[in-house]
Amino acid sequence: MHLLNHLQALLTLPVAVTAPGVEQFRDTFYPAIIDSLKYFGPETQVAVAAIAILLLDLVLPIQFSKHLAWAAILGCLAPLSGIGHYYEDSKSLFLGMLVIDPFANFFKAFFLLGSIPVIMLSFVSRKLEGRRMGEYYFILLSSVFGAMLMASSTHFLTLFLSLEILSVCSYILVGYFRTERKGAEAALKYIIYGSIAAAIMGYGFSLWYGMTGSGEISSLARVFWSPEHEIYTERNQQALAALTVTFAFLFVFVGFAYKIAAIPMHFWAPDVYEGAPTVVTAFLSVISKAAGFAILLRFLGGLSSSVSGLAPGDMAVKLWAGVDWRLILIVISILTMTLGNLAALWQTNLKRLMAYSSIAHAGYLLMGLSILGTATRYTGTQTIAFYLVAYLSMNFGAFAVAILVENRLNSSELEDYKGLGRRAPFLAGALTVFIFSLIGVPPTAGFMGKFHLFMGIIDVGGWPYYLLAIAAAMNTALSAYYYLKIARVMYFEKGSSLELIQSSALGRVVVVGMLFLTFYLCFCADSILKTTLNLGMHV
Amino acid sequence: MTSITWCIFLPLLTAGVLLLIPSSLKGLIKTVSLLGAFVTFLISIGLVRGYMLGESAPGGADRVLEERIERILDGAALGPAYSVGPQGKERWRADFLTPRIENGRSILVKPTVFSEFTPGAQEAWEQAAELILAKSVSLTTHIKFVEYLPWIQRFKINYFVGVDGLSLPLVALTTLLCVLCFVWSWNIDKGTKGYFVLFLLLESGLIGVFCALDFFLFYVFWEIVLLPMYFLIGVWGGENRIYAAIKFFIYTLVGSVLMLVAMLVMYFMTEPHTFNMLTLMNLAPGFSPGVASLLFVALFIGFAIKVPVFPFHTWLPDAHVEAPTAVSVILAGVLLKMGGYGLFRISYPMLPGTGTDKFFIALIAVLGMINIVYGAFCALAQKDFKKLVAYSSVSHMGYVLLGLAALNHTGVTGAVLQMINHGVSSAMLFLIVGVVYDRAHHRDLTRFGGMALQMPWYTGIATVGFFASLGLPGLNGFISEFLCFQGAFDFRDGATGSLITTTQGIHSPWIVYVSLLGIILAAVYILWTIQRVYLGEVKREEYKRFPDVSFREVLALAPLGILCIVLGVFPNGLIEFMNGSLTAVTDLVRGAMGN
Amino acid sequence: MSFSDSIFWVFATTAVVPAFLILFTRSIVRMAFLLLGSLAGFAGLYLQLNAAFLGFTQVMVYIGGILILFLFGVMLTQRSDIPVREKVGPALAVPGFFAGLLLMAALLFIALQNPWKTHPPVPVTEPDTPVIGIKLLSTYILPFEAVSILLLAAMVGATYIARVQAPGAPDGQAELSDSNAEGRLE
Repeated sequence: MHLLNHLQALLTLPVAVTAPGVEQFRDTFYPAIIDSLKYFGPETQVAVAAIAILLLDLVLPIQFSKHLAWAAILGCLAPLSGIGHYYEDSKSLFLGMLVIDPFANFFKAFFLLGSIPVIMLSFVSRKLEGRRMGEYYFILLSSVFGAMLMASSTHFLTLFLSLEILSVCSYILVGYFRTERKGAEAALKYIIYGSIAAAIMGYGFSLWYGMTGSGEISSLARVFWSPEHEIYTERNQQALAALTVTFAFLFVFVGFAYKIAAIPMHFWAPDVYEGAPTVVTAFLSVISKAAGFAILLRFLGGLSSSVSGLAPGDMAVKLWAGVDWRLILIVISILTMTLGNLAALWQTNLKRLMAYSSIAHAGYLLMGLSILGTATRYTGTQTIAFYLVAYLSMNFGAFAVAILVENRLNSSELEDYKGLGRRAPFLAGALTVFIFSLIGVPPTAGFMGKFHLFMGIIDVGGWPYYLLAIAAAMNTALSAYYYLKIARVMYFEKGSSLELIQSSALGRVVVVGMLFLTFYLCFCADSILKTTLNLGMHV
Repeated sequence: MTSITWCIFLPLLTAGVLLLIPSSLKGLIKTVSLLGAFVTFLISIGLVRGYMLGESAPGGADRVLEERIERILDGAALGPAYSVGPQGKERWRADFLTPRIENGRSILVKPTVFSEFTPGAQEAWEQAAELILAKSVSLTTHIKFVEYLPWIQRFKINYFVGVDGLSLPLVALTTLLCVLCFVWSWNIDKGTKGYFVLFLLLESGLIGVFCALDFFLFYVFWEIVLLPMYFLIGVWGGENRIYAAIKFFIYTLVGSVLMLVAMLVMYFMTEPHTFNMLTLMNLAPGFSPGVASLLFVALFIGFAIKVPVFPFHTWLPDAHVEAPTAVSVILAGVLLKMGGYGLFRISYPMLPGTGTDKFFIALIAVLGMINIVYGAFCALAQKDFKKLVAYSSVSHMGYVLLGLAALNHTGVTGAVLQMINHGVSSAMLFLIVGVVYDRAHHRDLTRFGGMALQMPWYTGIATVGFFASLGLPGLNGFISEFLCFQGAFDFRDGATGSLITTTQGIHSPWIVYVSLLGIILAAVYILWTIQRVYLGEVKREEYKRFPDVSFREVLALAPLGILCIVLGVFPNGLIEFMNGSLTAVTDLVRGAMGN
Repeated sequence: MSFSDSIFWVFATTAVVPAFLILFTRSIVRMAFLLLGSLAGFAGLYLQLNAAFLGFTQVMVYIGGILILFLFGVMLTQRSDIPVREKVGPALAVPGFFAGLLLMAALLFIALQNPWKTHPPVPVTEPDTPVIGIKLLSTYILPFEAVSILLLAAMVGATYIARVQAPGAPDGQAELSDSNAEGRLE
């Protein structure tokens, strides 16, 4: 705080310019901004760490470049101290641009802690060996910065901007091996789809801005929940309002759907997952997706929570033609999980398979979104937050094994996994556990996560939710087929080589950590459930 | 840790120890596994002996639940009016936790002042209400060796285990068969460590399924059984093992996810929400008939796949044929019983209204009949020795359905007895097939013959197994099949108490008459098999060099043969052992017939 | 149609038509020049909205700076090996066309029929730069600062990826066979 005081003294120099608004700036805006800075510590620390790494890389000889990973881990750990305690209430920062609340803190901690395995895996990844890593870790931390902003945005501008920070950083990470044709193509595809999604989302926001004249989510909520908005009652145009809200809602959703790889913006995922460096794929499939869900929760939650000053009972808002928006989410959820699982059945490349699997898991997670704003003991925020932690454990685990195997075999084709049960008993065993967790078989994290989601939707009840439950249950059985294909290849089929596969100690640490988390989340689920219980979003 | 927890987790613990042993020390691995399984068996025998003490058996469910209730009420702030001493607690309990009896079920309604309770008191009420409702089920008095610990409190999931006359014989069967399987598996040399670790994991899962009294816990153990089975078939299986393993896994998974959905619907439809199986036996019968039927169907599919009931049986021949002998033994001996056990423990007691519905009675009786006859015909057509035994399992599990559909004490006793008897005799048959397969390396019935001359001891033991399976009086199969038929002849309409003669156009005695065909067919295919394998000429020169059963093989086979005879001659001991629990279950179900 | 309305249409056409034409252009240089037209049209629209500062910034930064850099980059690095277009069969194209048409109709309907919430027109008395400055440093300070991270990341990434083309680097084909080449170069 000393630094802040100095800064304050420096900035309160007499202002020579007299322009309209200067007084207001000095008296109200300026103190508010300085006050906000106090709560902006974690983000600042991440940004500072990122830039420090970039500068440090300039002076380090190349053989030490890879050890910047430790600086990056420090850059992820240090901000945690500022997040450690949960704020009871939400506090608006930067004149309504951001908010700080338990929800934002949970996700910030999630992104920071989740990035540590990514950094560790980058360190052990042979593909990244011998390169200058300054740019890499800088961009990785920048994307974490973007993700953190996403979790606490309450204004279109920050929402859009943070999404773009994460996206642009992801494009670069995907194309990081600029010499590999697959990687370049994947990056190009990612950029094109990303730009289209961003453009459509921008259009959706402009529709909303046109209706409200404000960019804050809370003001949107008023239109969203009561299309009998004052400007429409004059002319009795509720139908038009509902139509506009529908389009605005769907267009904005497209932008988010792109981040979480849900239908209809899922096309990029298989190519990008396959083409990107495996570490980056892991990052995209967990952190980027989690950020997408955080912002979706923030957005839909903001639309439905008490911010709008409406009681929960008023939330049964109909879109155009009387459709409940949750029904749209249910349909998207069923389509996403079914399509992801069906397409995965035929895959022969582990990374591509995991891409479709991650689409399917986006479908499962959407189940949690579809119960937002309904009266249930297990809210959408809780179920999604818990599932994301579970998903982190099993997905990072699976990718960690994939990277360690790739280090030796230079391949992620399932064909090359033949006989892995003999060649790398530990890795194969661990991967099996993660696979079963991904299927959702007890006693693993994936099962608990899915169980929690099921509890949420069945608690709400009603035929759309029962249908969703049945669809998800059948999808679970369907997904078993292709997940088990991995286990089958590793254990039931003989490989051409019997040579043992060595893996680095740090890589094993990550795998063991994820294994621990996978079981911990099932056997001691209560501890995490208590945390997610206090997320405080009333949705 | 009580003895039952030891019984469930000792195999798992042994598996953990195995992981620490280098995989080259195969002998040590086998010894440790066998030791672990044997101690588990001894514990289960201890449980059986303890259970026979009756009223004074340790860990009675009613007592443990009562202690738990007291502890919950002690720990909660019950409100200012009730804060004084033990009397206050008693008064609170009398005021808010006295169930009302309605249609034979105990009902607790949230007190009107509930919203004025402190959150702590509300929670205490919900927890205590759940247990009080569990206590009021008549079955509770028969459950012993109970352990009750909170697990995931957010979902009200508890580690709640215990055994009664229905589950304890199955636990003992499991532990016994596992010991015999480990003896049998002494010759496993490929991936020994993995094999035994998975087998022990399987054993833990199986014992857990039979001991769980919390639906969630039941589901967890149910699924845990799947995983090792998949690998045991897939890695150590025969030619077509990959197909068989995946088919087994996906079939069962479809069933179990349906069960999961049904379980959650039940959880949310009860008030207070609960996974406690005893509480559910009290509350779930109150569901509306429409919902209850849907739940019943979902659960039935889940269990039917395991039994397996026609038309969900197609995984079974594949799995059996491909699985290694010891795994087949567990598959037939115990895994199939999980389905039947689920029907007895969950479907019928929790949804008796649907179970006693005419349509479902007829449906299950007809499915049982189809199983018996269709399974027998399929067995008749087989050339593969093991497939024949597999289809005979399908046929024999049909009797369980038939006895169950009867819904009277005789039928239910017969059905449960049939499960245990089939567990013994089919396990024996698979070992018998294993003996000859280990020598001839094929199972083609047309290529055997004259074993009786070469291997007289083997033939003698095998005959006991075959005749037990055939249902020869004096051996175990006869008793249970007879009881099933006797019960089925006698099944009555719940509403009128008269014999059901026509249900949905099916004349019920005909179901029994047609099923009786199964007995004849069984005699045909078994005698024919004996003739083809053991009698007649030796078809190949090399068969003459086959050694007779080894000591290891006798060690695995003899206990089963003895059990076949003992259970055939003195079935009454087992029937008496199960009587209390089965009467309680039957009463629970028949109670719904009255209304 | 008043004079100001007709001016609006001129600028709007200048902004939209080149953007539309880009879709049908194959040469990347032509695309860049069409983009120039589009950006100029937007600059005109800003000027017409009395946002003089914004309009001139648009001309100076976008047209004067970014676009020229862009053109340079294109001319220096133009390669033809990345497929620019993919063939779309009629099975997708025809329904796609009609779906697009329908969407456009719906959006036009919404745009024209809605009683949008509008701000009162800003008087042209004062220069608007101080207002913009204060807004940027108060209400919009966070996006204003955060965008710098975005730009920095984009710039670092762009240089990193563009370095493949650095003089002396092996050409694309050689790099494909030796993926560690640039590691050693550094």
